[in-house]
Amino acid sequence: MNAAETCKTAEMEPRVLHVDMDAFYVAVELLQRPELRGKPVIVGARPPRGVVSTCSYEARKYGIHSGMASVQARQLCPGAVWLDGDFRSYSDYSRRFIEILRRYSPEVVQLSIDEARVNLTGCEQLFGPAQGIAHKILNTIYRELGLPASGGLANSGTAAKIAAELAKPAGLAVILPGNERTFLAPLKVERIPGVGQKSLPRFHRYGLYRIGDIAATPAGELQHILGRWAGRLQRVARGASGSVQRRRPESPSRSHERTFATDIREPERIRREIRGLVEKLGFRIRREGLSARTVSVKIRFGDFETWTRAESLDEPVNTDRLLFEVAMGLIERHLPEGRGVRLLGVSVQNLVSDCRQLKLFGAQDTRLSSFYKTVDGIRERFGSNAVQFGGPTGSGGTSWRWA
Amino acid sequence: MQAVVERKNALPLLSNVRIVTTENQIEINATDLEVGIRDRIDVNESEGGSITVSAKKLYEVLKELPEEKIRFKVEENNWISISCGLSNFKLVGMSDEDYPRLADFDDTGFVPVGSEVMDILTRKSSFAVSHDENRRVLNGTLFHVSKETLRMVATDGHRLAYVESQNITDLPEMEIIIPQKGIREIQRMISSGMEEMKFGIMENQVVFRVGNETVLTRLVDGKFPDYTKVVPKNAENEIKIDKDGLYNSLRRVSLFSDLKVRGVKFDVSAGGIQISASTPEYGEAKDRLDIQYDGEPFSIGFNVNYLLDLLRSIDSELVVMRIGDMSGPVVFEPSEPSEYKYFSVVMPMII
Repeated sequence: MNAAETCKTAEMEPRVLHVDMDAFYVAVELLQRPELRGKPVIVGARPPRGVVSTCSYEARKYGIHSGMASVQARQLCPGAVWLDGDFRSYSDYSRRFIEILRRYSPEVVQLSIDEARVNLTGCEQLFGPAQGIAHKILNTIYRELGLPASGGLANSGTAAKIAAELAKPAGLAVILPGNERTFLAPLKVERIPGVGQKSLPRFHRYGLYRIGDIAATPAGELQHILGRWAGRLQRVARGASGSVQRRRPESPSRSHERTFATDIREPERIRREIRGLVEKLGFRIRREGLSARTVSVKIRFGDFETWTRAESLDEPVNTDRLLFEVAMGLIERHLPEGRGVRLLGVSVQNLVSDCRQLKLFGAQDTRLSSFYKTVDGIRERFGSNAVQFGGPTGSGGTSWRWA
Repeated sequence: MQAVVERKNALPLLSNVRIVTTENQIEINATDLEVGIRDRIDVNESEGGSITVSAKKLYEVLKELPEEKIRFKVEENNWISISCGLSNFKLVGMSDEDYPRLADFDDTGFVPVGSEVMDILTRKSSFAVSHDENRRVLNGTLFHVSKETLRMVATDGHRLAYVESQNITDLPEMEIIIPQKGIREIQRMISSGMEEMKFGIMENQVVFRVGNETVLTRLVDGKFPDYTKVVPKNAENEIKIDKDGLYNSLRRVSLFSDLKVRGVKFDVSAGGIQISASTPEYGEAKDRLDIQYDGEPFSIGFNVNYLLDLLRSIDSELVVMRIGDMSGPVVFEPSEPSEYKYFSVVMPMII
């Protein structure tokens, strides 16, 4: 039977399951090397270089977490086992994980390599109560892949994600319909996805420590504190239901920007910043399988005057080099020399699928795309700084600097 | 005639047709220097003379006239008066002094070529012609006669269409490239009547004649790419798909393929194929079809327009898709052999 035919979403209280694989990279490694079970295992670049990609729960007990500098991790737990990471096998397991989810619902949104959101609304008629389906899904993942996963079941994607975090490891947290607000109220605001180190002080300054505080604050006041974000946060905090929306609604553009602590003006520094933004942007659109026909730059000067300049291209681009050339060309043409810059941004619009028609006669230019596949693979494993373009201050325009 | 006259107006005179009259015949010429048409019509009474006039205006006037006798007269200063019943027109004409003359020839050296053969061969191949004006050689269809076989091949560098007819005994061996505009005129000539077509070749021109009408086409100068090289020899994976099912499925899925790139993805596994497309702005589409295939699963992308074009040229119920190397050319052909051997080669798209 086709699940799509039976799942009706109209006018039903949404039931959204957020599934998150537990210590995913390490768990995959343990399947291949069971002798490491129970030991502190770290996947990432060995010290002194790079950062921790992920680590086992045993390693977490030592205070190690993803993103931590490898050097620091070694200090915390000198006896930990370091693994390089086998990205091919991670993505293979990731694909199989998503395939299992698709058996239970036609609406599955993959959020990252080890996280996904499943819409179970209306699937009760086919598979029984949502809670039972959620259990079944987690069990199936463990039975078929040998990998532990945690789940959160709620009436919106955000609430489900918060619940899944609480359920870790290998658990399922269910927020019963109608209980959302009371369930979320005692949790710290940093439990909300998107609230991080940067924004936390702002919440605390206004006395917002618990999710319940956000729910209780009058909307106008919250708007004043948090700006545009306020409405969405308050809906989550008050337990409003939501759909299994994509994390990024089908927005027609992608952008990266950076604000500097002090205004920058040296051309070399500007080049370097643009390069950094372009690498992030290129990585992101390539991973989404997109190519851009329009590239824009945003420049905010020290006095907050803001300029945007765009260029449209005949052939869509998604390589770092071409994105950089176009963005830098715009900067060079439009940026008055010596004026202090407070913020730089690069964005792409007119996105098209990155399809390349191969030619019948003559050589194929597949070299460049396999090159970027390699680079992106490395960046995905070891972070965006793992591999970077060499700048003119390095050993030459086309060389590579390994960080 | 209208279709042949020069539209870009590089030479204003070429947007005119030339009319030459003899005692009981009118001859009308049109040309854009690449393709020329000559049509002869028998008339009642006529005096000798010649003039040129705007093809568009003349066509518009004649189209509106009732089915009655038309009087056509050249007056002073190259004015042309046309009268029919109570309607009168005066058109500005121009002298034919500078109008390019079409080569004249009699029937010697002409050989018959079946209208049906020409009809089928041009229809099954010409869709693959390139429209990129920088690639002159690919703007035409290869017309290749050897060993009593006539082959027509067209390619735009991404896909190729091949069709052949055997037992062609009258045509001499040759390898020429006919420009697309000439092919269109041949098709038009055939559609207006299935009389026997005659074929002749003169210097750098090829001539087709049906009844009183003659089409002369300047040949494309250059060497057609070696199409035999791109036909894969080791395309071992063979998939049979219901042709109409595939066509309809592609039409549906193509609604969500990018308007410029036109990519669709095939996920092939034993017994079934999933066809999908997505655009960042509008969403995605998926369709499934049963197929005859028992090999390993694989995925491949195509420009959906190329597939729709070639499927229209396949007459059998099933279409066979043969694939060797996943980033190499893919062959599509009818499952049943027919009088006309046909296949199309399409390069995949990296999606």
